[in-house]
Amino acid sequence: MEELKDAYFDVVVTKTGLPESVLAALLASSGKSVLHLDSNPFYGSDWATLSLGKLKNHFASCYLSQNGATKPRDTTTSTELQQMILQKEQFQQYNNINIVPVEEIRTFSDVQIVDLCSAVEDEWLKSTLIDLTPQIILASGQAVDMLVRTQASSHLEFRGVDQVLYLDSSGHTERVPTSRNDIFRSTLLTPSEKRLFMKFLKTCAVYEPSLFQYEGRDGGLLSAGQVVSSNEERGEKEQLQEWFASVQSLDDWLDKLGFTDRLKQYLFALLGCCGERYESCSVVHVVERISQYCCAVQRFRISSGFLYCKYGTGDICEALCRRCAVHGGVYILRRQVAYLICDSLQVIGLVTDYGDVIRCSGVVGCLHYFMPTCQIETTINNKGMWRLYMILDRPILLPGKGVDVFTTSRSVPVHDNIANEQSPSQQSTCWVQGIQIEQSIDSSHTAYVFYLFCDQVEHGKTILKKTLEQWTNPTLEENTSHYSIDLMSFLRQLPGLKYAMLLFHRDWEPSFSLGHHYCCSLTKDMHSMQSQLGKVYTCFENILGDLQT
Amino acid sequence: MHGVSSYVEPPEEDSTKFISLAKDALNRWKQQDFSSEAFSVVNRVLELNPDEYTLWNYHKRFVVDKIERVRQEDPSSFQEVIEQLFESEFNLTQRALYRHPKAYSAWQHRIFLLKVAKSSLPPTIYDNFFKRELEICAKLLDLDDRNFHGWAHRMRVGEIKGIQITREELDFVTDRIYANFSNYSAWHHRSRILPVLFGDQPEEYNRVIQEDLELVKQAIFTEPEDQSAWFYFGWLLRGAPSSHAPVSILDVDNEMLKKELSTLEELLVLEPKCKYALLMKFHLLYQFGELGNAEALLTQLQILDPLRNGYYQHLKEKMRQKS
Repeated sequence: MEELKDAYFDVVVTKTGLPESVLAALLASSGKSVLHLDSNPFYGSDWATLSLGKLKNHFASCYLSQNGATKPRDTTTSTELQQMILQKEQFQQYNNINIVPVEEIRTFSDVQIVDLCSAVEDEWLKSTLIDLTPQIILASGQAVDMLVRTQASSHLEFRGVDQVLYLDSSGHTERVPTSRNDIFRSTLLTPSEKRLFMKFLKTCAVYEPSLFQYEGRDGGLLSAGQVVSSNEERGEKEQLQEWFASVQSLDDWLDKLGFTDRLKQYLFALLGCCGERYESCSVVHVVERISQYCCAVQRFRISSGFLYCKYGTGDICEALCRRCAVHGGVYILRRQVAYLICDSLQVIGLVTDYGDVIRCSGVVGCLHYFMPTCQIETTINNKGMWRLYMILDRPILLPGKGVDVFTTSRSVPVHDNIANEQSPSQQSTCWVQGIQIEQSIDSSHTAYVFYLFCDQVEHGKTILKKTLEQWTNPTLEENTSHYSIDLMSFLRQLPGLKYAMLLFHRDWEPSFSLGHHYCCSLTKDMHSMQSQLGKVYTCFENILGDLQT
Repeated sequence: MHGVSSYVEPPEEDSTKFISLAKDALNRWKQQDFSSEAFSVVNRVLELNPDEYTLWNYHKRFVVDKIERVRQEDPSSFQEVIEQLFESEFNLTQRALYRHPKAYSAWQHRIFLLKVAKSSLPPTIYDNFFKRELEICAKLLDLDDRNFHGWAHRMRVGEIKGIQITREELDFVTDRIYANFSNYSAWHHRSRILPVLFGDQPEEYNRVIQEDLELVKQAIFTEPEDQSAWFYFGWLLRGAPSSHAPVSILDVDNEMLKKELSTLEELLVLEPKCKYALLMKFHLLYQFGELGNAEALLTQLQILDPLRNGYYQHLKEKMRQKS
């Protein structure tokens, strides 16, 4: 594009994933000029929502084909490039210019696909939407505030999550009671448990004073129209102070409150959906999170308190990009960065794969540098997540209406030979999360999209298989699963399965980055947007700070 | 609704204009003026203030007269004309109720229309009217669970139609309780229906009462501060008496009462300050004759709930007089 040559932008953002789109929207609305590139022909990159047809194309071209690395389109060699740049007016002031070849990080790997669609089914399944990184957000909190603040919410539609489910170790799926009516109706809790749970939720809720702005609606925690009398409120505040004063471990504290195992499970399920892990929770954390959660339940008539974007996370990215464009951001798809132009370890510009030379003051993106002289290695830490995407013609979790979210923890033996279960030396817990979404394609077809994620690197596939087995064949005990069948073969036999894709997403952290190059990557849990938005804001502050100097 | 102010839209016309309109309307009624101009004036006033009862009478007179007239003058087109008439009347009440959902007179007019319809229209049409009434009640209760007008209307409609209360009604009430159990009217409705449904089958009734005790127990434990469940609990403990029969249908034996006493104790362990539980316990202990313990409870209540000191004092004295 002719317009890009000799252009200047304050910030160039690569890839339109969620954190990058948020940054672009925030930067553009703060008055900075933004250029946003993406090498894909769609928005969202790793957070995109694609129809099945597009998904198949994308993975066929990028991940399954053998010719992997992208080569810059432009065939100019780097020395020629250097010469050309030095002659440009914008770069005259710099003496020591380096050209650093870069490549975008491929985070997905180990892709395996089971495709059982017949030609007829293909027709209507083609338009099923698959979310590469489905997100649930609390109805009130940082994520929603961000969407409102950037005005992206005006382009988005949300659905409420219908059920939050907990899968216990014996394979029973239980619905977590999240509102007063759920607690009242639950047949699994004894009356004392109900009292304890209600009291706990209500006391935590008092921690967040803004709760009482919202009128109690049936389904929320306050009965319709009930205003908490000052006596009760004082009592609950004292209770909170008492809790904070006694600093104990989470388990001890819950035992002291009288929580039974079942109540603890429900609590952990709720915390898990909000993004807290049991191991790293302190008492204050729990109260804060639950109070936030109670706010969320009160806000709309959605008893679970969680929202899911109707057209997927990709839609959120697109909406944010739209906001950036409204404030003057420039968008180019099918374009990526080939070289970074640096002046002694500080980025001052870049060259795209189409040969555009752009002067900028900052670059945002997760890039892999090829700098043989400096021995810079971007460490790939041993953390990641196994992700399974499935499309079925019948629901796995009943009754299968709307959006169901579940979470469960599994203890997994470490440093152990898988075939030899007799000596589990150490146990570590890993989380399995998932979402089941009912999508009505047209008036006569409904597809059920099922996402299942596990963050245990070594045994992730086995754990996913065991979890699926427990649902489809609940009488199977945990120890007697068949190791001989691997996950993919198991999927092939799963009744109702039309399409399944398994891949591994690797967490990535740079060990070194150049000056004025910002990398903001979030883990791809289903609650990342809710729990890790702080990272994006920090990055935003950094960029603004640097741009000011 | 308790604790929530009912919002009434301010009238568009200011008060002087409204007063003059109202005077005009009343005059026309005096003169028995039923022209369409008069009609529009009357309707305008009613929309603004459906509590103006005289003007509803105007409509009643109009309806009755028109039915008579059409029947005599033009019997062939009777059905059509009358249907139209009823439609417009119902619409008027609907418009009025939309703005003022608690206007007694508007509801009353609907009942009047239903009664007249029953006596003068063929069954197919007035069946539809009744069905619609029930749907409207259901919708109203969706919007505001505790609107007793909705419940009362339901009952009156049922009476007029002469239908017997069925299982369906019980299911409807159960649904509404599950939707939101702090709902005095739903519990009350339940207490009206149950004796009628099972009045003649004492064993069945016993079983249903046991089930209900379980249900109420869940409610009490989930929210001990909610009075509506406690009222129903009290009614069950008195033997679930019907409002019509002076004697309770169910023979309340000490077995059941002792069981409920243990339930109350369970709750009091978790919530020692729950005044409703303490009061209920007092009543039970009094029934059993344990007057000493009962009096201690009252003293406890007097400390916990100083606003109702007088009531507890009165109970104490009544108890002392009896012993």
